[in-house]
Amino acid sequence: MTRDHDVLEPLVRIPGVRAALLVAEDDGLVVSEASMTDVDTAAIAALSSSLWGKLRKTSVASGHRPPQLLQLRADHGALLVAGLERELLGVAVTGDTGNTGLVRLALLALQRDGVR
Amino acid sequence: MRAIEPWVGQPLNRFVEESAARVVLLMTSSGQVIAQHGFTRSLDVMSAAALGAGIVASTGELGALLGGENFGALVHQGQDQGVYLAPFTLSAGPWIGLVVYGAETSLGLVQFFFGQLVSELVEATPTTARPKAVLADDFEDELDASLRALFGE
Amino acid sequence: MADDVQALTARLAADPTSLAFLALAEELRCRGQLAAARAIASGGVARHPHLADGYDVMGRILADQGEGDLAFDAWTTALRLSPEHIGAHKGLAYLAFRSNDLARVLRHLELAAQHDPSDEALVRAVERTRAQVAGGSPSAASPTGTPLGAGGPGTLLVDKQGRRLAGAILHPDGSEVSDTIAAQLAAVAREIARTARLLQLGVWSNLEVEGPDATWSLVAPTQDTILLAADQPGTPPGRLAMTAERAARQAGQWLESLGT
Repeated sequence: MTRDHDVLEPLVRIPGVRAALLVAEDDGLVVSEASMTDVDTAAIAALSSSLWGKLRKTSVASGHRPPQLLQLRADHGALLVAGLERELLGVAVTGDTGNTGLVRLALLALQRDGVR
Repeated sequence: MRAIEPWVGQPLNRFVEESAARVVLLMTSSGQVIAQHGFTRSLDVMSAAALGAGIVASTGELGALLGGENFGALVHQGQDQGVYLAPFTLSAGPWIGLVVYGAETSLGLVQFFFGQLVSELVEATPTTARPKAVLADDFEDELDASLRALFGE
Repeated sequence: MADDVQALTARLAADPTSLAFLALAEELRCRGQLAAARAIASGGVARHPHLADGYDVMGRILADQGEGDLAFDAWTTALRLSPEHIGAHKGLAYLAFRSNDLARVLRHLELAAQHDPSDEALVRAVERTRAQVAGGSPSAASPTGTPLGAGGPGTLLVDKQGRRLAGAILHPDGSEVSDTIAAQLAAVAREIARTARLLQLGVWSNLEVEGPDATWSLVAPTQDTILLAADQPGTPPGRLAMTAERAARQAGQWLESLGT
């Protein structure tokens, strides 16, 4: 288990979290992953980095600095993405009963403390 | 987008739309072009197909030399654009996809949607489709006809 | 009448796919048993998601329960499925009447009367409302003046082609960047929908973005529009989401009043 993987442990321990990943922001590739169920982490990485990139562009166009965290809420779950150091993204996917408040705090802690 | 095999058209269109790829070339492992998107000159298609097939073949040989490792996709990342080159197998035989993408998308998206493209092609392959001979007697005529179909000339 | 409920319940029990749920839910509503009526209607709508009548009866129950916004959603869904649905037009006229918006009352009553000119009560209601509107009642003012009134300091409504429909977003230097942001939001909306679909998250309801300079909330008032509500950094995302949802409801009503 790499140290990158260790940083994902607090996320996957939160009830309802189906997958937690570190993703390369530019490439949309999985750098490290910890999934609780059989989920397509490559799809999560590719799609979350693409969504992040579009929101980042919109944010910059509006005269603001890039975003720090996004939460997409849907019928059957949520996707949370946080910008981290080293052009990485912290990503978590929850089921519909997932505690997104705890996931948000864990991602903000990762943002604050770094991945190493 | 232009395709010699009509059943390739819809999955390829979907791939181009979802992945935002700039250029796509689908070919057999012998370099026979099946479909293309984004090329404007037939000469470029011929060169790209030959080079792509050559790279995949030589990588396969290298893998065999190093103990039978079967390499998957190859990625060349440049300053402004990247190239994704991936072999895959259909019932019609071994094929290769060559994708050129820019900053408007990402390798992750290209890779993910290429996986979907391959799944859709596997589903769409007609049962009657058979691999063609690498160098048939009428190879040049066939190549010429293919290029006319691909560029509508 | 108790027999009716029993008979309808028995029919529904024998065949859960039966359309008897419509009459049963309406009967329970008329008796004031709103919770039971809502449960029956919900089950029916889930089984028959393309049946406009199901949303119509649901709209009546919700309106009786004081859930005006949900009733509005139910009746607009009924109209999407069946644009000539008289019950849905009457329901929306009722909601507009409750919010003292006579212009919209008249529009819906006229549409309902067009589809059923034999309904004398309806025709009389159209005439009365028309007279009031012609009399210059202040309540007949256009509802389109401030469609995004609840949207906070920065609110922008755009269509899926990236065109600005209402609201504005200002750059920190004071210049207007609404059209640029509108164009980009259309791409963001497509990406959100694609992400939710491919990650099997279902239908998305809200996207919250926290940044060092602003907090954003994105919602979709209708299938073809997206609304951005922006506020100061540090605004609790949940609060902004509620603001955005209120603005989205207003936007939905505004779009509906335009006939879109």
